[in-house]
Order: sequence, then structure tokens, then C-alpha cells
Amino acid sequence: MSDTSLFHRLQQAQAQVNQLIVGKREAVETAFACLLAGGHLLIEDIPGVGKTTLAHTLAITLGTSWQRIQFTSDMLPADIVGVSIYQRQSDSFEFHPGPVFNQLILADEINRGTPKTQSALLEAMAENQVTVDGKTRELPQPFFVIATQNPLDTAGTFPLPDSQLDRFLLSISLGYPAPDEERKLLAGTDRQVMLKQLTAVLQTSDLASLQQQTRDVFRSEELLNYLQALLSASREWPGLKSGLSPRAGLALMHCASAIAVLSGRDYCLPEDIQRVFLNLCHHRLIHSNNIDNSDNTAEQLSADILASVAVMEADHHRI
Amino acid sequence: MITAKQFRQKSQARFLDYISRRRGPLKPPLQLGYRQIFIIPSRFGAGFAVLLLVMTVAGLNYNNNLALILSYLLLAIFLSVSNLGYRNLRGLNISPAISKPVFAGNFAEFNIPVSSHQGQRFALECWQEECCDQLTAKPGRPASLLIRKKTEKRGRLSLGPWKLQSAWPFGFYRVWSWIVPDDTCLVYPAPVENPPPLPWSGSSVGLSSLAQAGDDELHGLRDYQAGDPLNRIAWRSSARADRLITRESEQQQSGEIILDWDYLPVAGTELRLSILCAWVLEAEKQKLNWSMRLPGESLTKGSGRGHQQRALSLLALYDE
Amino acid sequence: MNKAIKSLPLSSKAVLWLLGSLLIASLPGWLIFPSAIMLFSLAMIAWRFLNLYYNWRPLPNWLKPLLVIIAMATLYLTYGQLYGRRIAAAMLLLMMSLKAVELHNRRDARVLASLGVFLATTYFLFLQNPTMLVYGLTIVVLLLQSLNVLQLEFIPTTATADQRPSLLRQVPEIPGISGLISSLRIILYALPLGIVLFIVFPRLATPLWGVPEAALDGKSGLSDEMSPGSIQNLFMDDSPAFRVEFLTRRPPNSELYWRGPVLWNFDGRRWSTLYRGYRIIPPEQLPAVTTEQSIRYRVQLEPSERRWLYALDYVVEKPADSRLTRGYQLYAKQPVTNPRTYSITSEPAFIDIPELSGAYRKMALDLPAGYNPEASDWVRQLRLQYPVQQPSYNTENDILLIKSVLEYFNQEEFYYSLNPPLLGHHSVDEFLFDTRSGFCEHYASTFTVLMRMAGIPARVVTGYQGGYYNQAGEYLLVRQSDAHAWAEVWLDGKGWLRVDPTSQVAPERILSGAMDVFSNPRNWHDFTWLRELRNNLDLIQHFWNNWVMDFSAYSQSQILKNLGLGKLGKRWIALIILLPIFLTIAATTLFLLKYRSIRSRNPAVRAYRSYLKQLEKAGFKFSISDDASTVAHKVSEKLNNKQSIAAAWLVAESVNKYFYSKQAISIKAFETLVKGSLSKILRDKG
Repeated sequence: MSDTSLFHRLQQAQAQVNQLIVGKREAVETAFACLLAGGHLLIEDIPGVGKTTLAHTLAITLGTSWQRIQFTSDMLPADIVGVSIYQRQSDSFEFHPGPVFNQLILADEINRGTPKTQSALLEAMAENQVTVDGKTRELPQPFFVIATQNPLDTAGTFPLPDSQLDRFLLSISLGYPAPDEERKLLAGTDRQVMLKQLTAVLQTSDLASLQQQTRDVFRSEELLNYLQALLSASREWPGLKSGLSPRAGLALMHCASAIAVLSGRDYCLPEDIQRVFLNLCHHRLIHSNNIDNSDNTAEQLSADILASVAVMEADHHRI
Repeated sequence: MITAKQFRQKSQARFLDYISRRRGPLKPPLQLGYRQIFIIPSRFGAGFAVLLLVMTVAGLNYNNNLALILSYLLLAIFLSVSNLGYRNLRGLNISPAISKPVFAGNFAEFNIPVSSHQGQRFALECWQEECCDQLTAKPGRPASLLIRKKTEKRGRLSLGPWKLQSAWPFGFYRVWSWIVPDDTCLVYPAPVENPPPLPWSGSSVGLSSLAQAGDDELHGLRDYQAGDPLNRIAWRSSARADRLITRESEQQQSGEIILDWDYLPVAGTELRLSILCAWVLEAEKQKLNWSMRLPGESLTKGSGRGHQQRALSLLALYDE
Repeated sequence: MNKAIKSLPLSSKAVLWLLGSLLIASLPGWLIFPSAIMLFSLAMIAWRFLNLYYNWRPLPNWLKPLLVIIAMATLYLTYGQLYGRRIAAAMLLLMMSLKAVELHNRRDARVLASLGVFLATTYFLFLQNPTMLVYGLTIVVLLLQSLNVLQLEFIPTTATADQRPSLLRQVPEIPGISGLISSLRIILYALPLGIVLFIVFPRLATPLWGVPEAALDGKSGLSDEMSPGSIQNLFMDDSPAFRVEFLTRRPPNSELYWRGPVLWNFDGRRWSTLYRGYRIIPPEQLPAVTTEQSIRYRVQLEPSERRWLYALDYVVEKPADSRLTRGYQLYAKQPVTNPRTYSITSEPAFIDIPELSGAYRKMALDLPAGYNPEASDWVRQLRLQYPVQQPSYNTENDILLIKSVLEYFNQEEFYYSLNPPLLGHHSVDEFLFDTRSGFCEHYASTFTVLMRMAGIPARVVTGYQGGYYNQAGEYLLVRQSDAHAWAEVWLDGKGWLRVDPTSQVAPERILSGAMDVFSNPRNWHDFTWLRELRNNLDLIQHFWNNWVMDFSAYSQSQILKNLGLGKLGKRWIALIILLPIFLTIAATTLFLLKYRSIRSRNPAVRAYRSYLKQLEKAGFKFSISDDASTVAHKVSEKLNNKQSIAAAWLVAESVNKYFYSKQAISIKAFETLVKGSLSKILRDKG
């Protein structure tokens, strides 16, 4: 059966990424879920924990074309989408596609770019197309952006506004590896060498059918009840100005479905939702919390929300 | 001579102290048990009971069995509703209040999460002299009651004892529990309106130096460096030079902005704090690097939300 | 605090619930009160509805006292007096509707709900059928639900309202039908205690305060007067008058003359009773013998607010609290305001008063002067034909005269009619020689007048005739439409004899019942099948009266007696009363405090929930946010046996499949699996 072999290959792909990104199974799974759900990934972490390696490994494993864009403050939108240059020979403008015309893009330190540049990429992410010189050009499919942000060094940066952050489906942070894993990392082969040895495990068509599978995942009424309860809990949570938007709710549903596909199921479970809830809330909740000097981090908040909502609620209450 | 209000507060405090000692702590987080829950018929309930008794006696007198059926049934309802009312509060979890710091003069909002693991809790009201909020809590669904208190001065505003009450289902009984939290809300000083301009030179505030702030012509230009604020980029010059150019101002050359208590040209602790508060907000609005000096306290150079919050907290709690 | 409650405005939802309930509560008034009062009340309630809908301004203050005056005037004009139970109830309705106009805050709403409850109770003074009880309970449920809605909504006090518009919670979720079901459930919880109170709470054998006669205003049923049309009006009324269970034999319908008021006095148009007619029969004249012909029966009388009881001729054994009048009418000590049941023995063969004393003879011959000259002439002619004989016990001619009058009714063109022409001053003349069509009261009245003109003592008797025999319930149902009037003549030596002139005109009235006389329906909803249906449905009412309505102090003592506790001391009786009450209260309390239902309609949720509950009892700790796999994980951590661990995971898998996958698992299979796994786990743990 093609389905089983596809699932097998999906697992192989995950395994291959995990070989390089040691001890980050969950983050890798989240990255895959994001990919399957057709969204974009935000990695918030300090430099040197393997963000680039993750993106690179993913690109090779998925067999997609990829490009890295290092954002700087002097970057212009044209540096991303491309420019039309006048050709004297042909007496015409010729379009030179920018790095955005790739299937996988690593947008490194996206908060260093000026808002104008940022929005060029964000528009491409939202629309799956770019408009240059009044001409609309489709981006290659699948189109997957991994953006990174350094949360610590914020001087002279342009943090993405809340509305733009919402365009990223999930956010992860890799963090330091566990001691054991780190020892393994130190003892192992050089990552650059390993990268060279990697081969593509999935094909572009595989990815498309996996995304289709994700869309087809069955979500029962009980599941949707639970999901909705989480959303309204976030909206009523004290100390939050606004909770999760309906768009965030849809995102949560798609991500949970992707987790279900990654687990080889064709139906979605509450645990799938719980699994991605943190990554989903991370960049959506904290910024609505403006002048709070309490120690509530987004992680803590979303964990609290999860803990307060019953998985299976009685459908009616008797006096 | 004490006023009636003081007397009431005093006796209430004594009463709360008494029930805390006799009936267990009343400080959240707590789960309400029978020792914390009080119940008496409401005025309406008492009136309704009298009506029922009249109905019963009349029914007995005329030996009108239908009237008696109705009266007895209502009497039975009246009695069993007390159980429902009590059950409505029993086992309810009350967590410490969550509040965000506010500027003095605004309302401090205490959000008090209440949750039920068993059954729905209807019409929970929180009372502090008046009914402040009401909600119905579903099991496994978080909810919070809101108490708003007008703030008058900076510092820590304590929530004070409040009453969780419900007259559900029919208003025949008042069921309540006293909660004595030690929750406080941080109250920043109220920023003065129209504050004096920021002390750019860092030494003293003179009106003469103010006019120069933001005046393009007086300042030099230099190449853009990573980290320069956006509003300092000289766009016109950049366009001409085909590279980003930043305006360089005198102030930046002279170092950071110091919001200094000692150099404020006014007297009065509270007024100074209010001006400092307004400056902090202004400095943050302009995305400056700034530091602050208070007698006995100081805050090193920095910027950002966290920095601002630290400064405002210092101002709020100054000399307390 | 109370100030705060007072100032709370109401949401339109609460107002709607309350007004709807009040509207429903006021509707039975159509059956009790005149339409003027009803129209006024409904107008008031309707105004408040419209006020809510169109957001009108409240009524100006000067209008309110005016409305009260209008209401009181309406009351006075419709009833002509301001006392009496019916009037008091009407006043309650008016007060309620006036209060509804100024329904502004929670306090008003609570007062209104209380008034509504009280009003529902007062209806039972007038209407006591099972339908009314159900309706009354509906009113109470709706009013309680309105109180519930009041309680569930929060509108901030004015002090906070203007400062927190942005922070206002979304409009609170106010339960609709589900809330109604909750209110119904509360009634269900209270039901046992209600029943216990009904049965054991001591009843009053004698009322605390009497019911003044003036307070009664019997509107339906026979009155102690008769004028043309009065019985005819009753013919339109299908409500039951009384029911009879025959304990011995059941006489044929033609013998069922249920005796009511006996009318002696005639003023030319109207027949009425005489005070002297109410005098009690001296004991020596009372019949004391019963023969094989005697009839024993039990009458279940609907409340008539009158004092007379109906019986067949002639009463031998009567209820203790009643007496017999000179007219041989059974007369109770108290007006019948509640359904009451009494047993009687009657002896048809008894002869009433062979001797008629002077005063009574005078009364039975008295006619107003100046009326009916033609009839008088006609009787004189007859008298010439059958002259008065001496001695007085020789009554052959009298009998012949009676017969010829009856024959006259029979032979000439007389009609039994529902719509007789109106009669003028000389009513007997006109009836006898001109209109010749009338209802039973016309015939009885005319006949009696003719007899008196002929010098034969006569009187009119009103009551009921016949009835519908319900085979299933084995009882006779007598309706108001069975009301009848007949005549009695006194013949020397023979006593009072019943003569029914109607039988000469319409014999089928007596043989088969009033309904069969007319082929045309009485009104648009008068169908034979409907009448049949109603006759059969009356069985329910009959049982209702037997089991619920008749419950009294007497029944209570009967129950005690049947339990063998009839002779206990007062202290024991008190214990017997209080013990069940306390036990029921305790049981209800325990039940309510212990049984906290977060029940689900889904049986699978229930099964899984009870699985978790059992495990928690066994020492496992779960949080509400634990999904099936987490639960299985927590459980298996504490287990050693591989089989039970597998069982725990199997439950998780089935729960996930049952609730979240497309795969259909039968609920039976799911339940058995969960139960089986639970026992495996508990065995391993325990």
C-alpha cells in the first residue's frame, strides 16, 4: 500500500533529521507538523543551537530547493523577491527572481530586517505569490518558511508585530541539548560532513499528498468541543487582553491533524492538540500581555490554560 | 469619635478574624467547605415563606386539597432549595487574584479565578460593599470574577476581604463565604499631564535646552549602524547618498538620558515621582536608552518593556 | 445591600420570562372572572410587553392612581360589591396586572412572582379539576424559572456600570428550555416531601374561621329561585353537578328526580323559597323505615357554594351535618365550597305529610292577585266539571282535574323548546293559550299555578333529573344540563305527589335525558361524539375526586386507623406526623449533597467517567485535562501485571477510537470492555 510506504518514508525522514538534530525529537516533530499543516515555522532561540542545521537538514530530506536569507537592517524588499533589470541587448527588463523563489526558505534573524522588508516576505508567506513591477508571480510549491528570531539581543531590531506573528503557524525553541545528547553531539561526526551525506527521503509529491492527508484527518465533534473550550478559555483567561483568535483556532486544528498524520492516524485526538498547543500559543499569547510584571511566561500561561480545561466535559449539567 | 463606616469595618475585621480562627483559613487558594459557607433566607425568601404559610393555613381552613398540594410542594421546594444553594458553593476553588499594575487614578482590576471540578456553579457573585461581578462557572472551564477598585495613590493596593455570594436558584436564600486574601495590585504613580521635557543633557533641566530637541539642522549625520532606532534615520539624506544615514544628535553624543530625582526643579515627593513616571513613559515611547536615579535607588541604563516596568515599580514603591 | 438589589435594572429576557409567566397565570381568569376584569388585566400586561418591545417610557406618575381607581371601579361595577372570595381573587389579579405595569427592578419582579403564585392558588377555590392542578403547577414552574433567570443575570450596579462598558462580560448565558428543565427537576426533588406533607400534616376537622355566606357568590348550578329561562340557561352548561354511586339497586332514569330547592312563593313571574319552607321537619314526621325498595347511594357533590344537598325522594338516612326541611329538602350546615361526598338512603314508597297544616296550606295555595284572568276562568270551567268533593279525603275529582290538565298539555300543540318566546305580564295566560312553547320551568310553573287556581295545594320543585350512567366507573354522572323543574300537589291522605307536566309534552326528556329532546346542537361545539367523549373522560375526574379531593381530616384518621394506630396518644400522633417529614427532609438533603450530577447524555461518557471515578477511589490521581493516553500512562506506572497494563492501554485506545475516530464501536462493546479492564486493573492494584 502506498499509504503505508508513505508513512514509512515520513518516519524515515524524521529519523534522518533527528540524526543531525540530536535530542530534539519534539521540535523536529513540530517542524514536520508545521510543514504538513502547510504553515510556516518560527524558531525563537539564541544562535548556535542548530537552527540553520535544522532548516538545511529538512530541505535536503524533503528534497526541496532551499535558500537562506540573512536579514539585516539594510536589506530591501528587492533582495528577497527579486528585481527586474534592464537588459540592453534585448531592450527589455528581465526579472531576476530573488531567494524567495525556493521551496524552503530559512529567514535568519527576521527581526533584523526593516518592517518593509519583513512584510515583503510575510506577504509572500500569506499569499504564496509575489508581485514585482505589477506582475504577480506564483511561488514554487510547497512553500515553507522557517524564520528565526533571537529573543535576547533585541537592540536595533524591529520585532514582528502581533498581527504578523500570527502568520507563523507554530513557534519552537530548540534550546540547549541535554548533557547526554550534547556529549553525543561532541563526539559525533561534524554536522557539515553529515549534511553532505544526506539524501532526500521524501519527494515533492509525497509532501503534497501528506498535506492532503492532513486536511482529510477526521475530527470528531468531541474533539472540536475540546478545541473550542480551549479557545474560549484563552479568551476568558484573566490578565490576557485577548485570547486566541478564530484563525489561531483553525491553525490549532490543522497542526493537531498534522500530528495525527505523523502518528499514523487518520483521526485527531486531544493529545494531538495538547502536543502542539504550547507551540501555537507561544508567539500568540505573550504579546498580548502588555504591562504584566508577573512571571507568567507564555509557556506557563498555555500550560495553565491546558490544565484548566477538561478533555471530556459533560454535555449537560443537571441541577 | 468613630464614624459608622469605620465601626462597620472594624467589626467586620474582628468577625473575619474570628471565623478565620474558628473555621479555617479564608486565604486563597482555597476550596470552600461547610465551615466557610454561611446560609440564611434572604428578605425575599422570608417573605415568600410567610406567603406560603398563609397559603397553607388558608388551604387547611377550606380543606382545599389542590391549594394544599401547591402550598406543600412550594414549601418542600423552599426547603430543598437551601441544599442546592449550599451545594452551589461547596467545593468551589478560589485562586489568588491576578492583577496588572495600573497608574494611580485608574481602576485596579483584580481577576479572581474560580473553578469547579464538580458540576456547574450558578450565579456566583463577588461582593465588596456592592455586587461587583457575577458569573456561572462550568466544570473544567476556567472563569474569573472581577473586582475593580478605584486607585488613589501609588503603592500596593490590597484587595481586602470580599464575599463570594449566590442567591441561586430562586433568590430564597443568601449563601456566602468570606474570602480574606492578601492579594495586592501594584499602583504606579500617576504620570503628570504635560510633563517637563526629557532632561537630555543629563545634568539639569532648563527650558532653553528643550527647543533644540528634534531639531535637524543642529545635528550631524553619520552612517547607519545596526541598532540605530528607525526614527533617527535621515531618510532624505539616505536617498541622496544611496545608503542609510542616521541623524546624530548632541544628546546622544553627550551620553545617556538620566532621569534624576535630584535635578527635578520641583518640590514634593509625589509630584517628583509623577514627573519621573511621565518621563519614563516618554523615554520608552522614544525608544531611548535611559537610566534613573532616586535617593537610595538607581536603575542602570537600559530600555525595553522590562526596564520600564522595573523603573515604574521602583517609583510605585519608593519610600514604602 | 438591599438598596443595590432594588436599583438593579432588569434585562429584557428576564422581563419576558416573567411577563409570559404572568400572562399564562392570568388566563384561567376567563373561567372565573367577568371579561371586563380580564380585559383590564390583559391590557396592563400587554402594555408592559409593548413597553419592552418598543422601549416606551414608563407611565407618568399621575396615571397610576387613576389606573387603580379604574380597576376598582370595574370591580365594583361588575360585581356590585367589594367583598366575597371571587371578588378578592379578582382584586388579586388586578393588583398583579397593575404591578406588572411598573415592573422595573428585581424587587418588583420578585413581588410579581409571589403574587402570581398566590393567584394560582386562589384559582383552586373555584376550579378543582386535575387539569387545573396541572395548569397551576405549570404556572408555578414558569414563575420559579423566572426567578431563576432573575438570579442568573447580572447587570452591574449604576456605580460600576458607566465605568466598565468595555469590560462588560458578554451577555450572560441565560438558560431557556434547559433552565426550565432544571426548574422542573427542582420540583421533582421536592416532590417526596410535598407528598409526605400532604398526607401526614394534620388537617383541620373544623375550619379556623367560618366562611361567611356573603363571601359566597354561587354562580353556577341551581339557585333558590326560578323564573322563565333560569333552568334553560343551565341546560347550556355541561359541567358536572354531582356523581352518584348506587350501593343497592339503580332505579331507572325515569325515577331519578334529584330533589333540590322547593319553591312555594310565586309573585306572578318568579318562584322563590319561603323562610318557613326551610323549617326543619319535626322528628316524628321523619321516615325511619327502610324497605326492600330503599336505595342506598353515595353522592359526590361538586362545590356549589350553596347549602343544599341533592337526594332522591324520600331521605331516610341522611349525613350527620345536614337536616331535612319542610319541603323535604336536604340542607347542609355549611355551604358546599369543596367537593364533598355523602351517603344517603332513600325510600321512594314513603308518603310525605298526610296532614297539611293551615299555614302551609295557605302558602301552597297563595297566588298574587290580578294575574292571568283567562287561565283562572279556564280552571273555573274545569272545576265546574270536577267539583270539590266532601269529605276532603275524597280526591277522585281532584285527580281527574289534574289528569285533564295534563291531557290538555298532551293533546294541544305544546312544544318543548329551547328558545321560547318571551312572556309578558300574564305569563300563564300567554303560555297556555298563545305561545305554547317552553322549557320545563314553564310547564312546572304553569301547572302549579293552575293547580293553585283550582284550590289544590301545589309547589314547584327544582333539581336534576336523570343522568349519564358511566358503565366503566359504575357511577351516574349528573350534569348542570340535567337541571329540571317539576310540580308537586298535595292530596288529602296521599300527601305530596310528584307531577311532571314536562313528561306530557316531551316524554323522552324523562326517559332518556335532556340531550335527546333536541335534534339541533345547542351550540357550534356541541357534537354527540364530543359529549360521549366527555362522559367517558369524566371517569378520571371521578377517581380524582375519590382519591385526591376527598382527602380530609377524616381520611387521615382512617389511614391511622387502618394502620392500627387509631388509639395512640397525642405524643405518638405527633411523632407519627413529624417522623416522616424529618425522614424525607433528611433523605432529600443527603441525596442532594451526595449526588452531584455531571451527567452526560452519552452513555459512553458515563461509562468512561465511572471508570475514572473507580480508579480515583483506588488511589489514582487524575486531572481534568488528562486525556485517555495520559490516564493510561498514569495507571500503568503503578501496575506490575502486564495484562492489567495492557488493559489500561486498551481502554485508552477504545476511548480514543470511540470518541474521536470514524470507526463505529457499539456502545455495548465499549461498556463491557471498560468494565472488564477496570476489574483487571483493580485486581492488580488491590
